[in-house]
Amino acid sequence: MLTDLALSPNPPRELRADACICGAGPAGITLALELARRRPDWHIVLLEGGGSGVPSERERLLYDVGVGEKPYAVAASRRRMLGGTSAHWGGWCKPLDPEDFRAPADWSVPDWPITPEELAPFLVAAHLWCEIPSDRYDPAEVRARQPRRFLELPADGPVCERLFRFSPPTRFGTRYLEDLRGQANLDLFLHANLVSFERRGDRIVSASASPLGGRPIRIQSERFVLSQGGLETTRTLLNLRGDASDDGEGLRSPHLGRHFADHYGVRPGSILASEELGYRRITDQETAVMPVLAPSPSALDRAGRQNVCLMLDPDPGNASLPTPYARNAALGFLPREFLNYRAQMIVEPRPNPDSRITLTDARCELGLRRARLDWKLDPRDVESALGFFNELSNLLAQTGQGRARQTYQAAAAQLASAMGANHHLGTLRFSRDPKDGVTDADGRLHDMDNLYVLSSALFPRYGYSNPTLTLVALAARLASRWSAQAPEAQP
Amino acid sequence: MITRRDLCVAALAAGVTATGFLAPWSDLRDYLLPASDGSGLGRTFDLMLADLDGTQGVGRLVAEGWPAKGEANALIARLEERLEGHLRDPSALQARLGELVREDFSAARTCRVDGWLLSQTECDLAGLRWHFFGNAAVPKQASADVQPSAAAPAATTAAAAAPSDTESGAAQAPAAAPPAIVEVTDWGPRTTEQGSRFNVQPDGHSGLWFVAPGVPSWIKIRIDGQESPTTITENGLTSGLFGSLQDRLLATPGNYRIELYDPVKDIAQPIGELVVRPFSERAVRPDGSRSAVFCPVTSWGPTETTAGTAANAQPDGAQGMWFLLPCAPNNLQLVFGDDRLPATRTDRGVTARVPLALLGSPRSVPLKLRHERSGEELAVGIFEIRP
Repeated sequence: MLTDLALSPNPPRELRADACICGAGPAGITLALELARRRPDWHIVLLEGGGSGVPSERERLLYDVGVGEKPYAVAASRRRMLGGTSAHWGGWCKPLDPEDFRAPADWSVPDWPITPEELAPFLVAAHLWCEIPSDRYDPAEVRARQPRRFLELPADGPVCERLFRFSPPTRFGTRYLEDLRGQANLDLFLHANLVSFERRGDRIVSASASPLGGRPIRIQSERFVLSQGGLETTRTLLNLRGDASDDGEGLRSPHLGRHFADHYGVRPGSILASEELGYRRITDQETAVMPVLAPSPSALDRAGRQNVCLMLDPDPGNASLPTPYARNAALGFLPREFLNYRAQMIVEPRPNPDSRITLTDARCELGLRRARLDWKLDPRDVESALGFFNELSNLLAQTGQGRARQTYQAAAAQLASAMGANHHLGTLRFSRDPKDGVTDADGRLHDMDNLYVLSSALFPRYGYSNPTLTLVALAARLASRWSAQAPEAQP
Repeated sequence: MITRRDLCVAALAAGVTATGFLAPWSDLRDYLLPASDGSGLGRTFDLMLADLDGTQGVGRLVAEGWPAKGEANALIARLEERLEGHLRDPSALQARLGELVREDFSAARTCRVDGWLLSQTECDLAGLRWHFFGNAAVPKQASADVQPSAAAPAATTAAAAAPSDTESGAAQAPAAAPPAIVEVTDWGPRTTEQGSRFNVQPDGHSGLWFVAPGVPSWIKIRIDGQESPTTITENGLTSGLFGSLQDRLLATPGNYRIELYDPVKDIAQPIGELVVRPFSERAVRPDGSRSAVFCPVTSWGPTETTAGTAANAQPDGAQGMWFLLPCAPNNLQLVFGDDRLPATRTDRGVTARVPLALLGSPRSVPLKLRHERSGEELAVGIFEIRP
């Protein structure tokens, strides 16, 4: 059932639930529907602060965030509405690489508390939720069908290939609206802004949510899940912590709010290579795929670098090294036609404890303290990316497949102007050891009995893959664990 | 001491120049090559060198960076050593050179030219090719339609004939005369609209700022020949349009000269011009009323891209967008679909950056400019993200 608190004349004052999920983006909607279907005996409450459309000016002001020295387009990175940021996402999907689950020792970052193998079954469900036509990510399969789209890469070399796939993209708020409405044991409330929790010891007893200027409803629940997006969930927990110290575990973890990161792009330069390369969005078996170049696992281990991926856009107008140059066999080029490409990389940011979300003394209309974001980039991000680009340059040259031109300089000004990809990562990271993170492997705060987080802010290490697919898989996993069933639910 | 090789190199270069003006170009390579032993490494090598198409840009930069005049000879000597036994047969030479290039990369014997990572052998060959043949493009099958005007310049005039995309403008620019008073590195605002004060100060004057570190304390700003109240600051000066000068200039569109004036020496140093644009009609809103803050957008771009790709890509991969309009307020946003992005007003309009993340999937995106303070929006058009 759907109730809009801003419109309903007689909303309930009190509700009891088995699970109360705060935030109806891709993670919240997936968890709510999976749980409701797996546990018909449960009552699920899903709260969304926004409505079904674009938020009003007054609602936008609730999200007003101060930013530090480095600008961040906060307003463009969040959607206070049903479906959350799936209302504007591009649909790029790819599971994290296996290497992304382990952090090098010198990073002072915990490994993921779950393994790729543990997550894999839930990725199958995530593909269904995100309406991705295939869950096969071996670029060799595409290569077999379209060999001229790919470079010839030595098996034990520093460069490998990975594959992205694409959601249509699924707009969760509209795609699953009827499912949400029709689910008998699920109540969805719109314009239900989470205002406060009632806490008893290490348990949350109830939550209050209200429309702007309206009467609150109180939800008593066995468990609460915060899936409001990385920034807002962090703000909610910082508000819940209040003036308590940050030298403990869970809600009082010193990691809460730290390590904020977002993916960002680097354009390292150009490449002169075989003219038919397809390291960009191409069609394979009538679906869109995107092969990318990335460091091989052994190269990542050896160099201790961050992960990164590289795409190529044809740039025939670039005459800095004209294509006839590559027709010179005497310079070691293989006999084929060549083309100039612009290289575009997506960088895995290194977790940085000084990049953080804090609270200011200003309060929003709901009485909650406002957040401040100090996004700080680590220059080693770009060094890692350029290190990989350099290895690719050498490989192209040594094998006669091309040459590369580096034009990007890791100048402070360029880092300062980098824009994020609207992925809010790292501020609530999960960990096996309570000292290393804020929540456990299920997203439960280490010091709380029944308060959970479902967000890409859980990721302790980020990779370069867009996080939505993994996040939806985590939602399916949590639903499975709570229902003690095998992971076979269908959207 | 002039060696035999020096003579050969000189003869080769001179021969190239002469043939450029005399030859019927029936076989360019034959004319390019002197009848004698050329580079000293034999005719096979010289023909290979002449055949290195597309290397001119790299070659020029390499040759310009050679530390000494005799570098070509030194390189030839080194190559002779490394190519021993492969200099007679064209296939063997080509294969050996390819091998040397690969070995270079394996051993990190590389050079960077205009950002390109190249092997040292490759750079040497391109440099030699430029040294001997300059900018001449050698056809694989020489033909009569190759005009003598495309002839290779002598090495000494090579730079002038080099492809423009690799030319260094700085190298050819005449040296700037030192400023008469002090260097003004930046200033603004440089334009306003008829009737519109700018950078309005508490007393109502329109403020101008000038970055000029070290400016003497007695220097004044003159605007349209009239001295204007001037304040010396840590990094330069401030001045502006005051009183009747402001009324007069803002009432009449035109270009008004701005200069530094030294009353002690009675000398003036031009800075630039303040442009007062004619008043532009405000944009018409959908309800027929006039916008309070926006003029109509006369042009904008880019208008389309491919999903996942930024047109007019910025260093971080974001898409740069521009909008030309005669007037726009400060505190702007670009509304990209339903997303509000920061935008900047410039002298000619508005610029903004769209993150790559918002270009991920095909769709038609309505664009609007939005005045943050008043909330007024100006519809611009539809941006297309193609599959």
